[in-house]
Amino acid sequence: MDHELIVFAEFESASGLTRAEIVELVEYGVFAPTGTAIEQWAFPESMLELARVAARLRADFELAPSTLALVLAYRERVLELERRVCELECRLPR
Amino acid sequence: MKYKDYYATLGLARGATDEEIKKAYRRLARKYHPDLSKEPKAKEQFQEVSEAYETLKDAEKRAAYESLGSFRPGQDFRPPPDWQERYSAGGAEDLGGIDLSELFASLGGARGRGFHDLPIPGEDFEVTVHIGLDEAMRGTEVALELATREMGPDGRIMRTPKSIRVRIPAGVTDAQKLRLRGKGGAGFNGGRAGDLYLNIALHPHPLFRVSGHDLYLEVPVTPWEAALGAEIEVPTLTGHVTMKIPAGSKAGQRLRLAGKGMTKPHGAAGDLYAVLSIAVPSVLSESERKLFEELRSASRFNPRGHFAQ
Repeated sequence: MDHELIVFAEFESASGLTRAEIVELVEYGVFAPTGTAIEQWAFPESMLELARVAARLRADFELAPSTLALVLAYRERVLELERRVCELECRLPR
Repeated sequence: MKYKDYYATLGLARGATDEEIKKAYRRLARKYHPDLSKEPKAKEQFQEVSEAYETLKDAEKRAAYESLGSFRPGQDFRPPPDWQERYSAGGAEDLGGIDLSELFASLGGARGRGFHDLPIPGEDFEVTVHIGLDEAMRGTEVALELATREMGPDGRIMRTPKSIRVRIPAGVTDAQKLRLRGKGGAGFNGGRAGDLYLNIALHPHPLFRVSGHDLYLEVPVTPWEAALGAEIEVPTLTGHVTMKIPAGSKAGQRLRLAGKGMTKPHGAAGDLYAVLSIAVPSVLSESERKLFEELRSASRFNPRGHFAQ
């Protein structure tokens, strides 16, 4: 599923974000679609999970896209650190 | 219908202002939001908080809620006789079988959007599925129970239990999300079917720990196996293999068994790391004690030599 691309319209409807919000989040570097013109944008399906999280956070905390981008960046850092902690814990004796 | 005290859920008194309601919601949402929180039962707690806020933030819904009266949380109750006519767009249906949250959701739906004409997309579902390492390796099938929305003969949308079986492909990992397109709730008036999102959660394994597609196995070795080297048998998910312990191995050292980890989706596999620990017999026989004492006398090895510098 990581390699499958979904077109903009489907990404919009499946994520729960509006077209304008997606465009703004792409500008902030949250999503990286393939294609240059907006009409040709396609998104890896694996990015949909992040988009749905973004939609939930936006709705539940009434966040503006710029704040959302910041929250998502910190969330990604926390997840990366958790992955790293998990990997290091795997090496410890029980 | 069971009564829920939305004010108590938000930790507020009945006369709370709109600002107090919003602040209480934000505080609790930050604590329990399932995308951010590590609290146990965060998802359930957040649903309760959101349900309370959805009703209390809307002046009309809040008035409708307050005019239901006040009961103990969980107490069975019925709305006053004129309540339905004053607030519900649905007419005089029996409200006995529905949940309080559905009652208030239907108020909003009926008020706003021309509910019976527009295409309504099916609901997306997100379900956490717990499977074992073996099942993740081979792929498996799981049975799920969803409460989907169905349109009754009177045009009213009700929750109906639906059982489905879904195939989980080989090679999934812990915390992975799978999207099963069109496997969520049915759409209405020509709306597309919703999607089903599966969050994969692996059961802890008694021997192996998982990091992505790699497995970690703690392998205790004796002091002489670590010092002299040895060939030992270790378990993998697909059977035992022989592994070479190099002479002079240390505790905490990782030895890689390439391709003996979890299967990856496109055929390759992660690695199995054997993490060495040095095990010492807790009770020594007379001859063992003697040999260790001989070793102590003969050896000039000092593992703490760097402390002196």
